[in-house]
Amino acid sequence: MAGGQERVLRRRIRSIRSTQKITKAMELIAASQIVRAQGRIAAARPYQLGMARIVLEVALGDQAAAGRLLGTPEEVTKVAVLSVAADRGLCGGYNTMVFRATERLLAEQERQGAASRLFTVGKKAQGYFRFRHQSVERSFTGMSERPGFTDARMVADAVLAPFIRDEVDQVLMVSTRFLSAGIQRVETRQLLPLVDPRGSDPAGGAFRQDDPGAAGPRGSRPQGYTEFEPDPAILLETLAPRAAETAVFAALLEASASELTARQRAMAAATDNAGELIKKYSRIMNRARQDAITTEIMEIVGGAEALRSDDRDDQDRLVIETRI
Amino acid sequence: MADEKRLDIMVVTPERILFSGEATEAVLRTRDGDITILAGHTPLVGTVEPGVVRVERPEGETVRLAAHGGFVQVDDDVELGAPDDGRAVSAGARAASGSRVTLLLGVAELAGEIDTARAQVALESAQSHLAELAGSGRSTSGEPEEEPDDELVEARASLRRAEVRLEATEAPAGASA
Repeated sequence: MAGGQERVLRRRIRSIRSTQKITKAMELIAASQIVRAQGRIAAARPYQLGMARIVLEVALGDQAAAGRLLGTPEEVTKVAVLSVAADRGLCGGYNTMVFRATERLLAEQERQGAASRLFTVGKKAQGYFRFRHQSVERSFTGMSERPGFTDARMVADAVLAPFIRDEVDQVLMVSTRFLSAGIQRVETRQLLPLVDPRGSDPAGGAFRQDDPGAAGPRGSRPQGYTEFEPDPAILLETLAPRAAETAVFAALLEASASELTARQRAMAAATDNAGELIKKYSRIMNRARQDAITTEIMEIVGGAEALRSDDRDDQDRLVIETRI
Repeated sequence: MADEKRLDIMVVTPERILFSGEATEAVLRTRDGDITILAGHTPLVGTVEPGVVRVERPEGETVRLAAHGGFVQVDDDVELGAPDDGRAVSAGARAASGSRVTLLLGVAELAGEIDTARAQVALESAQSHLAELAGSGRSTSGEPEEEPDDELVEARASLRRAEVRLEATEAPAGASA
């Protein structure tokens, strides 16, 4: 019946409107958090630059003994992979992009005959890989939106430990880089061994060598007669995990900013879509109501008409009756 | 500060720049013991062991901070006050050359920011934990070594952290440790 359809539509519009309020709120929350996340990225930059400079200095001071801590390993039979995703969904393709890149990397490693050990950050990653029966060595949750350095240290300790114990030859990390407010890209980077800062590695290693700031006036000028305490080789042993940990922290920060940006974008789109739906259903509802009214009028008119003709019939009949 | 050479110190933690400014000397702990860095120090790259870092400001003020391990880099003859990576340029901004000390500390606190009461509590709990470990260590010597070992290392580290924190908040007179 027409009135029923109208009620159904009205209920649906009300439901969409309340959803729209939620998505709008989430959009605003994400937007306000992005600013803070970007601030944290900026605040962490000096430490990363300082670390990059020390790594460079040590690498230059220790040409021979860099060993397995610097450069790209020639033969990789075992790798540790860290995949950085989010704890929550509702952020468009953000998580999916990371998962896809991770799976591609795992497949690639397998093709090259290397066994992978997977570590993940984010509740979503945990669920995704469990569903796909991809074994995860350790997963970390509860930090993706607001990572602190202690979180980074915890993750780094777990991921780097197999390398330090010489159980894997390489540690890779898949994460989303926050290139700008408009561009975020999923990238795979090598955590350990440290990417050799001496070589011109265009892919960019643990540090942002592609950044004009990183190789700025301070980084590009090694001094050549630097004192080391302890020896470069020993220093590098303590330095490498710390540098990699710095890279993990940077990645977590960038991932959180990327996640929030993706969420803001997704929620803005959802809010727009809700608006469209409300408009569309309002139109349908109005038409339905109009139809219902028209039908009612038609019924009334029809009824009246029928009544009138009934009356006429009755009169005729009456007339006939009276004649009899 | 009669020397024309200047010494700039920057203490950086992963989350923020803890301190940045001019100094007359900086004392910090390395593997081989405490070292003092003055303007014109040889370029150096080294580790910083957990301990108190003391920075003497030109105005005579002393900045003390608790450092829980990290790295130090000293650059000599660099242009100071150059507008790189947005660090605060010291007042006066003489475009002088001098030494720059960069301390990269994973965890560090300024003495003024340390909660003494909390550090004291942490110290006591770490001590009792260590005593507990030492007590149980003998009885369970047959167990696999790794786990109690890790725990012991961790307990020692937290003891050291608490000690360093308390040391940093002490009066400058008791600075030598």
